[in-house]
Amino acid sequence: MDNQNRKLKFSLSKLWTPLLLVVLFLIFGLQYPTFLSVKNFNNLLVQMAILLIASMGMSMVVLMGSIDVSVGATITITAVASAMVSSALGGASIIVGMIVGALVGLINGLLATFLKIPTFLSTIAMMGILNGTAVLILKGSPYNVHSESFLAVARGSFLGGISNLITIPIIVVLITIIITKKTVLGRMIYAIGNNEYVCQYSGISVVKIQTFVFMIHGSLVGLAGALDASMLEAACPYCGDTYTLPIIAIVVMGGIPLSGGRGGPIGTVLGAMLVTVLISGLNFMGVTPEFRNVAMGALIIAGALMSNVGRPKIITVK
Amino acid sequence: MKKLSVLLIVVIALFGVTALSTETMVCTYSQMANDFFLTFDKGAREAVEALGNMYIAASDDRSPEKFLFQIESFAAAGVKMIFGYSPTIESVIQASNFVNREKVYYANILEIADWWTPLDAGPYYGQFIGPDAYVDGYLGGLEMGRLLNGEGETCILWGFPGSKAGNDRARGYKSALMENFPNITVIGEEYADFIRDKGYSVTKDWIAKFGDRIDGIFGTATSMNVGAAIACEEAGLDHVFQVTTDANKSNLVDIQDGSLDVVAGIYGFWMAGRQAVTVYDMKNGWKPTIPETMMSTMQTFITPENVDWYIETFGQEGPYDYDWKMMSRTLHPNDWDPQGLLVPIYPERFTNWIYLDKPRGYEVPKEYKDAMESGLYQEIYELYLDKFTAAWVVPPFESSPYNYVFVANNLEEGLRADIVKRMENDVLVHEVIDVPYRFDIPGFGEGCNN
Amino acid sequence: MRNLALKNLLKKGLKTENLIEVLPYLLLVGIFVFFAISYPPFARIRNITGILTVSSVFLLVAAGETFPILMGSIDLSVGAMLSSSAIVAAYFFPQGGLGMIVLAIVVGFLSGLVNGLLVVLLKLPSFIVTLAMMYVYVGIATGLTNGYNISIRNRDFAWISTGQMIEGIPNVIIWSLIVFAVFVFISRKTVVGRYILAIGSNEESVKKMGINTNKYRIIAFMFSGLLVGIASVLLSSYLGMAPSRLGDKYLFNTLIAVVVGGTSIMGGSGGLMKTLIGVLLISMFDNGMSLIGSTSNVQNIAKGILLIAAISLVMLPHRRGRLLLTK
Repeated sequence: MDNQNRKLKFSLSKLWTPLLLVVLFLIFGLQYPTFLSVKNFNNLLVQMAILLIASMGMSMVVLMGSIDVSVGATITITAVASAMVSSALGGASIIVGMIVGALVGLINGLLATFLKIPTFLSTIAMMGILNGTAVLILKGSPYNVHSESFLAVARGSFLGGISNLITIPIIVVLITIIITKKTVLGRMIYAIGNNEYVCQYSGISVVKIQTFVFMIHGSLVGLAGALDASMLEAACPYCGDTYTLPIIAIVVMGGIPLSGGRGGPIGTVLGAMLVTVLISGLNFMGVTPEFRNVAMGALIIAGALMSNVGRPKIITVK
Repeated sequence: MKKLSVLLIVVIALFGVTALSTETMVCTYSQMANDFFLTFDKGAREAVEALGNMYIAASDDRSPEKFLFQIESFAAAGVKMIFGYSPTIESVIQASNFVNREKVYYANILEIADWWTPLDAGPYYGQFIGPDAYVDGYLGGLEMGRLLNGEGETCILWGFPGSKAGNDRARGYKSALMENFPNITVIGEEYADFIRDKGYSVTKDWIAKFGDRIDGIFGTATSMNVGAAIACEEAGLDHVFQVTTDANKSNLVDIQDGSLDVVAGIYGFWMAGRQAVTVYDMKNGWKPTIPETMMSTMQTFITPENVDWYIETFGQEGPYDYDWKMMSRTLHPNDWDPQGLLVPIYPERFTNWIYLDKPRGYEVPKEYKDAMESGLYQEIYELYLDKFTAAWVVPPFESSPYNYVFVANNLEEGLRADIVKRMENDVLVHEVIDVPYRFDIPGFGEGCNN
Repeated sequence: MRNLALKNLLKKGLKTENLIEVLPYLLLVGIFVFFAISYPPFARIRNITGILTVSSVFLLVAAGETFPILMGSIDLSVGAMLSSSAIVAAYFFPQGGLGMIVLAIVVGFLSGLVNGLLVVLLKLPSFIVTLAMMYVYVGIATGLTNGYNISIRNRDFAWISTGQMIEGIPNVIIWSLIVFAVFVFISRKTVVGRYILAIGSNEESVKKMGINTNKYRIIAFMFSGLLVGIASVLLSSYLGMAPSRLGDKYLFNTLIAVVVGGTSIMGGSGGLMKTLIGVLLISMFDNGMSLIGSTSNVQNIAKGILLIAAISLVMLPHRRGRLLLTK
């Protein structure tokens, strides 16, 4: 009886995000008719690209019950890495970005599993370290990218005239769905999120999986960072910081509770649409940056609350 | 760790060897993660070392606490000469009170507290210099008007709320439109945090909202306009004119390829080096006259016409061409050369605060009024004009109409700008133009001429 | 406390747990010696006084942060509350004065209360709640004045922090020590303080004893806000203004000070005195690094590494033989 109630509540809570999305479209659309134009849709899709790719990795991390606050700083450092090799490697610099991202993920994973530091703390510390390193490497100034083939990644299209900024995120989303829903790894991710202790006892190497997932997440963030450098024609210090809060908001509004174990990448896609629409609409309205952040913060709390609905109350929250 | 130990060894060595012969001069600024401060640091370092002293850079990450703390620490360590940039305007008050207590010579640039003069603090706070943001914005507005042929729709990229220089530039811009170009309107305004990313995404949204109505974008800092230019190009719009400030080294290529049209350069490296020389002079006995306690510095417009010259003169890896020692009043009491133009500021009408109420019970020190009435202001003004012969710092005649520098001048009622043009054969020609000051400028989000 | 650690050391020899206990003190001495050698003026009285002056505000904020951490929670909004309390108070009392002081403390107290209530009522992890609230407080601090700081040009108000009742010692040091001592007393000798510690180390048992753990959690956050409110007055007096943007360096430094000082991030062990050591450590480190000319950048990287090292050391006893998995 109680179970059925919970399941019902959970299903209903899944509706919030799409509902909010529609409401926002209505509000902004009525105020600014051009908001609903085809051109703006295109605009929104492009703005969403980076957020979506990075959020896919983040979804897997949060599904396990961890979090990565250093995601913005990781975007910065991977943008730097790929920008700096772009003159030599051209388009292939994207891979370099992904490798650097994977390295960062590895470190984060090891800090969490080996040193057993709670991820929200270890990733805060990593954020400081990564940002500082980026500044040291760049010596303070933005690094301009001139390589045509590198710039072509964000501007070009390798699939029938559709912009890369639309095709690449779609591919990433598909891959994430396959990993989380169709593979053994995916099931283990959910298992860890739901009940770590049980997992450990049943012989699953939680340590290895956590580290591996952080690495996948890292390489996806690296992809996002490289694309950012390609899009903006430069890498600069602290550039990625503006993405941190929206990414967390996206995953949370996508229906994945912070303790993990439920939800999935499709919810995250909806969350990404919601956040992108909100930010864009706020830009249309002309609000201050602080107000934008408050909106993100409110969204995070709302999302965390909603995804907590219907949870069995075993976990004491601190 | 390695860096630390190397630094350690170097410092100990320097300390040991030079303790008796040289002195330390400290330059404060916000952070290294910023193009602008990099050139600052370079100019400051060169000047200090040219004077034979040891240079220490004290960055404070924009924390007023850290800024004040560092000044105190260095004063406690025996440093007698401190100059540089303050993270917030109010910190200047605390800093200036402190240096007077501790008898440390201080000169700063760019930021000064509202309704606060060096004389309010004491003799150890010798001089404030900085470019006039309102005039910069106003002349920028005139440029926009020229580029748009007097008609069009523009947007403004503000920085972040609370940035004084940023806000004053935007106000100057709007003022220019109101005075001269009633057919140019401001249809969009947004805060873009002084960063490229935000400039890009804000502009993308503007394009979605306004389509190709946007003819020009005025920015309060270059980094935002670079992002804006990329967004406009991606959207395939006809060229959108970009007018902004801060000719940082990494942005010069964007001027070269035509993405940016008019960028004000404020010669930050020169200002930093100057103030190093100023505190040095103060320590060696020079006392600034009253008009010299606050001076406005020169700016120029960098455009595709003169950017190559700018890169060659100020954008190279090697040292600047300045002869720092020549700027010194103690080393060259008769033939000193500021190698730049400065105009005294009359505090009662300073554009930074003329539109703000005076703090309760505050009056500008009487000495300023006396100096004005006795003609001392005029005298110093003409002296500095006279001494400015360094034509090489002004864009060359070939880059006309952008072969000039400008400085704000508020020595008489109303506001003016001194324009010094470089003609053929490096002859400098001096003009004065009016820069109407308005008190009815619409604020953020209120557009202009709409 | 120190005596106990030393005694243990002598009796049981250099066992790792004891080493960790003593480590903050060793680090403190070590850093002092390092900088005193690298740059002799570092050790001058005036420089030390300077370090203590800046540490004063920092100490109160870190002390405030210690209470939620002792409970196993965290408060990420302390830096933001510092600004918002100061700005709200200065907005209504731009001349400083008693009104400003009272209002700042009240606003700080209320902010902490709101934090605590949200954490308890929403049943969300404290780091998410305080992360979101941090942005709300920043929004308040910058929204009221459009991002400008509020200048407070009043000599009497400035005297609070910069005046010298005792020759050579800025008042701020004295006020902050008094307030700190009061809260040390609260945390050690009162029921409230001891319950907070107990809940941090074993919440289930305390609950079973019939104690309302929620109430004490709210109180812990209230203390955080209260201390921050007091700190905001001292800071505004020292700076001559209410700062609208302090940046998240404050938060970063505070967390490091608490953790490196020896308070466990899992809750249940540590305390205000340990935070004192951490605060002194970080302040000396910052000061020394500036004096030898290292940029703030390198300092931040070093501190990030220090934080990681400190946390993992603190987690050491938890790892022994237990399947503790962190998320």
